[in-house]
Amino acid sequence: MSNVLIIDNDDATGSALCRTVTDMGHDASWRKNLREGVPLAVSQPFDVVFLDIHLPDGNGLDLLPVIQATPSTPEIIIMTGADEPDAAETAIKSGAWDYVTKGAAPEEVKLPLVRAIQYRQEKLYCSRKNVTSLKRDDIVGSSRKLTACLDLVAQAAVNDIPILITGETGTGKELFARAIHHNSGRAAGNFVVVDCAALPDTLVESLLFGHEKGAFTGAEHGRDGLILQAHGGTLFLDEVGELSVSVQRAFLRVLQEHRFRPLGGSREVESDFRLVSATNRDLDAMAQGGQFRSDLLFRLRSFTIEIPPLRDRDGDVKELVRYHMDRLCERYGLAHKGVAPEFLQSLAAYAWPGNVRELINTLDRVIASARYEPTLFPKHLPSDIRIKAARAANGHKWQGDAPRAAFHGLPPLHDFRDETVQRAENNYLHELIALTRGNINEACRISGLSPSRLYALMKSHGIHRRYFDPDAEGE
Amino acid sequence: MQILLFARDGVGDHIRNAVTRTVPETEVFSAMDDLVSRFRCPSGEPVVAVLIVGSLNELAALRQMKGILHDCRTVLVLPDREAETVAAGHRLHPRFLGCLDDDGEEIAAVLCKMLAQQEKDRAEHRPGG
Ligand SMILES: Nc1ncnc2c1ncn2[C@@H]1O[C@H](COP(=O)(O)OP(=O)(O)OP(=O)(O)O)[C@@H](O)[C@H]1O
Ligand SMILES: [Mg+2]
Repeated sequence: MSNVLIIDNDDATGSALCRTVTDMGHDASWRKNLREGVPLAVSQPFDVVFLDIHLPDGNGLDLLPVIQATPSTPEIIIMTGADEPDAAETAIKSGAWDYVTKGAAPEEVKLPLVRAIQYRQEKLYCSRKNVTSLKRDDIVGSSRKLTACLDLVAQAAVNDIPILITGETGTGKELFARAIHHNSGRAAGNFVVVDCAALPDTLVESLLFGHEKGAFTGAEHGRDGLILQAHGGTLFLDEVGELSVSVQRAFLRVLQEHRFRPLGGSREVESDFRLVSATNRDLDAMAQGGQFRSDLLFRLRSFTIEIPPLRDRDGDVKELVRYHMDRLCERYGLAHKGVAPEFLQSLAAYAWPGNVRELINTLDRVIASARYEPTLFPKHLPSDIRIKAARAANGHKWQGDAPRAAFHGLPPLHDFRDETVQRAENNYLHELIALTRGNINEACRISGLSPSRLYALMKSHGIHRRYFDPDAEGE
Repeated sequence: MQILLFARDGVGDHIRNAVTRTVPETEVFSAMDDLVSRFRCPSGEPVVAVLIVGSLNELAALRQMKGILHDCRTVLVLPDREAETVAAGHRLHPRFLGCLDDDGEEIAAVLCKMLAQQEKDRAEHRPGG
């Protein structure tokens, strides 16, 4: 059984549709205006939404992207008048599933509905299959947030669009970039790392684009650039925010045309690469400050994966400790070590500003100091980590798994509260967009937020700012 | 931060010299076994490895030790620029890939920038700091 929402103010059309939908064994909800319909689409999962264009409080097409962006990403079927051929075209262009003419016979309504539901079921099946068959490489962890990222990796792997991976330092951006490559159709090609932070300014262009013999003083041999080495594979632009504006300009062209001219070369060469970039910098702020080209940024982030900081991944620290501890002991030829529960509790309570990399470095230091000791206790940890962990644990973080289980499946209040606030904020933002119909000034007035705070909040919820600023996308 | 450089005697001397001149505290290894022993010794310090590879056999041997290279950033210098050699090089996930016929100063400049970046990151996120 699927859930269908009907937003239509016409009594005859609405009631006929409701009947058709329920006769087919699905659940129907009916609202007569956008003010009530859109918030309902935000707060409840729907598979299909029938959306009228002419509603008392606005044009349905204007809010189509908002409805599409709601958590259940429903398929939308537009209701058009018989005398509106253009509206049908606009509907399809804006990403609607299909359109039906108002007053059409039930049979004509049934077919697009059946197809839309079939499509969603298949899509769901495929995405589940993707995640279960994903090669995780060395990605360890099973928290909800990490699993959501793996889901995105699975989606990213099956297409060829540019991916931007963001996240704090040490969260695993490179590891995820590799996982996308290894799970993609390009896995047999090269995965070429461009460490933009490590390339000296004078060398960046010749390293990226390559050069012909004699292109500049000292160029004794011709050399393929990194972009060409990625032909048939993946180009990973790490720390992409470090590229100078002039290299950004040159690279934008490569991204658009997949052709470029090596330094000193007379002919253009072609490279069919898939781009993954990563950064821990705020590229939006850089674009606003003129240090990053917004047209390049727009292209880099066709699809974004934000890797959560380690402190937000419940339970992952423990799995990571086991995995890396065993790996390091093996490397050093040491017997596997046991860990006291308090040792894990201290690690789980610490905030890990340097994320997984800091955790691994810490374990390395622990092993160096407790080389032949069979069991690790908190005393083996660097004292500053122990102190910070103790403070955090006294504050708000739960200590280890034992008290957790004692709550008979209830999460700790702190986690529960965080999740609830997150969900409420998300709903609020969608409602705000719907209510103000994308008017940023109005949205700031109602919410009491500044535009930059509002954009930041939307970003943290993964809602694209174009809903408030239609020009932002074409920047 | 520790820099470990591997190069058999007589291989890529110009690169080795440029690196040791620029970063004098570089530890140099001319036998693969010594490098492996060094990696097996826990020190608790992050490592950058500069691997100057003189032959395809050496490259294959390095691929066998991929596990012990897991936690360090690698600058890899290949014996030639054949597509297969380059592909084998990328499979080791180096942060920088060069070739024996590269200018040694260029490789040293890359290494320096990488170290400066790492020092910066480490100052911000020193384990327990
Ligand atoms: N989920 C994970 N499971 C296992 N190991 C991980 C995970 N995430 C990161 N690591 C390990 O942590 C280290 C840092 O990961 P990585 O280099 O991918 O992070 P990063 O976000 O690119 O860091 P930086 O910002 O410093 O470049 C690597 O050794 C990586 O293997
Ligand atoms: Mg990285």
